[in-house]
Amino acid sequence: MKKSTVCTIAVICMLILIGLCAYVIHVESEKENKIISERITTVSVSQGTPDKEKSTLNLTVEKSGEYRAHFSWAPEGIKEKDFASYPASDLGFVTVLVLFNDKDEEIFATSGTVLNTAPVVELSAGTYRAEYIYVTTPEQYEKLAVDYLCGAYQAPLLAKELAPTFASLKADGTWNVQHEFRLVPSASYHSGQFYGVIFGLLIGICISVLMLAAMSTSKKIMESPKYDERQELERGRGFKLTFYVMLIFTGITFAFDMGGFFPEMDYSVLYVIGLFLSISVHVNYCIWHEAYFALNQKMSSVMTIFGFITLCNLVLVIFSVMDGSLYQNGHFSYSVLNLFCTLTFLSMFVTMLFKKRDVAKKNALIAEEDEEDE
Amino acid sequence: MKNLKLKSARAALDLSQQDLADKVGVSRQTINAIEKGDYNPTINLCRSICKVLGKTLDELFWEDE
Repeated sequence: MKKSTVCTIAVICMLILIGLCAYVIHVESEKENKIISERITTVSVSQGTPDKEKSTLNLTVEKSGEYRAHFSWAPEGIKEKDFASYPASDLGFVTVLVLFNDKDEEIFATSGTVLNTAPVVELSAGTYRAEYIYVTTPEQYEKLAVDYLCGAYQAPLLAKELAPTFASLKADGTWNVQHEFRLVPSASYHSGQFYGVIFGLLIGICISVLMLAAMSTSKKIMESPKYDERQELERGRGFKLTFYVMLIFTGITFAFDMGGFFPEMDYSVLYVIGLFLSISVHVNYCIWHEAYFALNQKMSSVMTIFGFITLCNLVLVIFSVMDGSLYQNGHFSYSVLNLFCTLTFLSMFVTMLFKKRDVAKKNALIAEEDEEDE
Repeated sequence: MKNLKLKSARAALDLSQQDLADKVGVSRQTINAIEKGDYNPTINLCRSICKVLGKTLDELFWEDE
């Protein structure tokens, strides 16, 4: 079968699947039975302390089942999607949220600064009351967390983390707080995850079909890169060096993790940075020792790709710096990975540039020597 | 130690490093490294080079006392 035919079939299949998945997700989201309760309260703050201890929201659940609860509270006008771009100190106090049933029994309690997602809870049909309790001191927070048991494990950590800024979480004045409490049936979450996985799998299959189609019709792609024995040796040395770099990095990260350091970055981010570091070490070593490019492979095409990747990531980094999503609430977000991706590919690009100059110099020298010999 | 024997044998046949590398099936940098004495080739590569240059292993790779 011709390459163009296979590609066309694969693209049509992909478009049909994307359309189908989009339709299913759209229908599913319409089915979502969200129960939302919200209100706006005026709170006066004096010397870092609000004039009321709590606000209350009432809501009714018509159908029994498992629900996932979300709650947020923020100054009026700030949307949930904008939370990321505001520092925590601008958004309000630490809040403990407790959900009570109509018999005044506690269903669950959770806590956070501005936005939180509670675990899945089993709710029967009836009326419920959500209480937002404003917390202004670490001690008050710990007491509440213990009183309501749930979320108590978070208390010492959160209280310790926020202790230096507890009193200055909100400037004095009168401001409107928008409370929102949202219950989403757990089933829609599961189905959403399910369709997400199916969607990802289908896209993966389509990409694989496209790649197979390209590979089956191109001998050049089918051939694995060929390195000579010196290059293989250098590549082996590169892998050994990378292994030690990764070992040391992982060891240091683990030690810091155990010691409770590095609070400004998620460890998942840190481990991916380790991967970038290792790739960078290996590729730069191989480029410098002329073992990265296979026999007869052109450096210029790889340089173009690396330059393009560097630029794309750089643009993302600039955007994340501009909208403040790179560093939020004293933490580096996942956008920092774009920064490290940029640095990794930039380092490779620069190494290639230097190597190109070095090779040109060496070639000129060899040509001179050969002329002298003649 | 530089391998001047290899270099002169190559020059005698009017081959550039790239020409020899192409005939042997390695990169030009590898031939350069062998001539400069930065890399010790395996016996297989030595034999391939000898075949292309029409020399014996002793003539190209044996070190004189």
